[in-house]
Amino acid sequence: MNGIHIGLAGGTSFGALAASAGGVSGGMAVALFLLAAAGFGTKAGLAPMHVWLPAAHPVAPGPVSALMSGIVIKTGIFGLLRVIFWLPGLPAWCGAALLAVGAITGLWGILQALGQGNLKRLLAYSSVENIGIIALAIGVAMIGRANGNDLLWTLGMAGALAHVLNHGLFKGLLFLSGGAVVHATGTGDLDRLGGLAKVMPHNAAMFLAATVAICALPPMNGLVGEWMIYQALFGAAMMKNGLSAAAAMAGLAALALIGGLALATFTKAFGIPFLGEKRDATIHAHPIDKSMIGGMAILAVACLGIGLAPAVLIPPLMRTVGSAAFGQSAPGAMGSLVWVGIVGAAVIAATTGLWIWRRRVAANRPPATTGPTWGCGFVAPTPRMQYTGTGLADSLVETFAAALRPRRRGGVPAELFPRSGALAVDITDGMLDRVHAPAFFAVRRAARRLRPMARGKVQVYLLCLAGTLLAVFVVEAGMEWGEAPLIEKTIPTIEEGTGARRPRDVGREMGAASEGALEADAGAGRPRDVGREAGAVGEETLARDAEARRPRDVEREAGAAGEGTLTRDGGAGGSRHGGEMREEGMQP
Amino acid sequence: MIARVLHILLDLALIVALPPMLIAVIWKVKAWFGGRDGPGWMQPYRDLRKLWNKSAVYSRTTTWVFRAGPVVNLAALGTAALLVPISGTAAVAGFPGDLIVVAYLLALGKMATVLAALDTGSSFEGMGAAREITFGAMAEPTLFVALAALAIATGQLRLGAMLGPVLAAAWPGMMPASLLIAAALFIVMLTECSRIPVDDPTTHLELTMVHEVMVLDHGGPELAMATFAAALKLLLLGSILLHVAMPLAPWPMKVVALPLLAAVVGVVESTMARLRLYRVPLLLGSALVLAGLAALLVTMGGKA
Repeated sequence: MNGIHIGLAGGTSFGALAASAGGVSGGMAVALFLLAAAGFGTKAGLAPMHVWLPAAHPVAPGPVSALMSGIVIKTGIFGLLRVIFWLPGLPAWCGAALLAVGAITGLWGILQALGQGNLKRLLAYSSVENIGIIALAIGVAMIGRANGNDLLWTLGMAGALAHVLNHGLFKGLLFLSGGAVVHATGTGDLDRLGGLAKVMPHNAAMFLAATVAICALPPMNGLVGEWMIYQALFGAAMMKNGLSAAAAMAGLAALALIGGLALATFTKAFGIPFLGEKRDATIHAHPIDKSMIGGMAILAVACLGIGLAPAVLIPPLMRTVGSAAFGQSAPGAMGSLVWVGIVGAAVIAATTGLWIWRRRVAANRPPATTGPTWGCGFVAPTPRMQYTGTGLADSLVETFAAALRPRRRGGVPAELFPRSGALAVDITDGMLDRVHAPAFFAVRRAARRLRPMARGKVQVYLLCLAGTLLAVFVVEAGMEWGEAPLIEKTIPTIEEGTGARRPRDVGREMGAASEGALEADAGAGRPRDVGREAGAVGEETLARDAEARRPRDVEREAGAAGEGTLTRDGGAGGSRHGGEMREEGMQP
Repeated sequence: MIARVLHILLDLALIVALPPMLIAVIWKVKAWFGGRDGPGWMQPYRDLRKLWNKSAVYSRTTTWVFRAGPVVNLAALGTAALLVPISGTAAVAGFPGDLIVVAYLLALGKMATVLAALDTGSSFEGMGAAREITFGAMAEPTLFVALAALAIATGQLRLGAMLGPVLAAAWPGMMPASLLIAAALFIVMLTECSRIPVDDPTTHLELTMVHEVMVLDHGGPELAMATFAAALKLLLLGSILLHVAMPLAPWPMKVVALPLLAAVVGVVESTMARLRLYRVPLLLGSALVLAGLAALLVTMGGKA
């Protein structure tokens, strides 16, 4: 996709790309968008290309996972956003399609997260879910833009960007805190953990804060982004425009279901390891270092701060979103965002008030006594009798069995006096088995047909090369007769200096952009870039020619990245999906 | 202006005083169906006072999460109550988009209750928690689609405005959709408030409970808060339902209708059995279909 676009733009800088994109015609714009959605979507983790993410993220140490889920996958979203900002003429169905992909990604991610038995895999799948929510929001915004609905564009895009930021904060906190659990206990297996809140109370509080945030509950920051996204969906539903209203209504139901499932998933993620009694006597958790808590506290304070004062997000969001042709009615619509913070503060105030009242009352009564948990008369309870994470999620897993396809091993003991029984529920990502594997096998079957050509005869290979070249020339000639040339064909008279300088510029911009995704896209930022580019154009017409070489490089990189993810997935998922072995096993 | 202030004061009074009365009505109706006198009208209030005056017994397994559970739950529902119109058409406070916040305040209360249940380490309470999050997740889309249908019909995103005069004005064209929404909200209310056919609040067998088993280890003031919060949730969802179902009625009738709605809940509880647990998602699925139909009707109808 970059190749085409850069070809159109005649440069790899964002400025050149943005300047050229305005003239892109309808069909080409849609093609660019679809390719960008596929490419950047893979990076971000949109279904069904998400399968690499849950295999890759959990194997890193906690802090690295925090960065990967919090920031690195957002570069995919950033790339997609850039392309969408450049292509204002995209039709509404593109938005509806992105909304649908986002809804499916969100539901699939949270359902898989719900079924995971490993804390870090659960968190990784929840990142897939949140990427889905972000894509859904971008979809609504695009629907709004295509319909000339200013408010929808603003709320949807601002909601998506706010969620990008918020997810980075609370998912970072979850991975740090969850990583601390793995560090202290040596395992992330939820069904073996329990009662950790007594061993590491501060870490438990941190995880709980992030849990409240990720479930979009007041008073934390998760609600801020989702509130805007819901507003946008309601707005789209109210447009009474067939496609948009239907898409928005489906999006609303999906987002609400995602919210309910997220609540289930994260009560499991917090409740099972931290609450109750220790489930496995062989695990000896040691308290974690104070300095680790300090790092988490910064994120927790940021989460709470944004939750209580969401208005701080409005100016940067408006700068970014309003820089497009839209955004005039935005500040008014966002005004009630302040109220979301006020409600959060009210909840905290009410909780504090009740707590103090409760303590005052208790002070006048006989002191509270303690005893064992009520076991309904059973006198010999053991910690093993507690509900496990698998058990907690099981009725939902069963409800969504059609999507999750849980495999049960073991079951209810049948004898009259059973000694022991065990039940395990395995949930593997069906997209790998049902989407990717068939697709790859189809490619391999097709490739096998070509095998007769590969006989080691150099002449045949040369013939292929010549044929391909000829085809390229024919196609290109046809285009020149048609409209504007697709690829600029000035002969590259390369100045080594400029040629070498450009890629670094691009790299720097990329770096700066991913750091401040909100800022970089801002209108304030864009003109400056363009200006710099414009200034540079005079002296760099030659340099621009040099860039005729760039597309190939970029494509090569993209190709390499794609390969990398596939291999990585095969390797990391190996324990379960046994990349090579299974492939052979499934051979027809 | 004065009328507005009076409505706010009346709403606050209703929030504090009415919830236990709704429970009393349900008890009375069930007793009448069973041929008994039942407990007195003031019994829920007396129960709350009794519990509030007790001192607590805590399980040794529990942490601060257990003690915070009922407090956060009641605080969340109390805050939500300020955003829901009860007597008048305007709530104590409101802003565009407050319906989203109300839904998530209910979810916050639910999370607090579920975590407190898990904190006891009891297998029964874990079971209740598992059921609560299952039904909660399934009820959420219905609530939002029903609210979206109302938003489409009225063009409003503030609960007070959405349930107010605009809805009354749209009533002639909107009646079928409104009744569908009311039916969907009724099922959501029965689910969220743990009533039959989703949960049996009077069962004596822990294995069949949902809400009651989650508060099994709560005692004294904590149990009082949990009980009051459950009744308050009935008041909130009931108020929204009544505003949808009878927008033309003057406000005193809507207040009177609240105990009548509780009586209907009592009739349902007396005449139906609890559904098998694995049937409940089907019930909630049908509620979602009802709400979806309503949304379709208002979208196609073009009424505003």
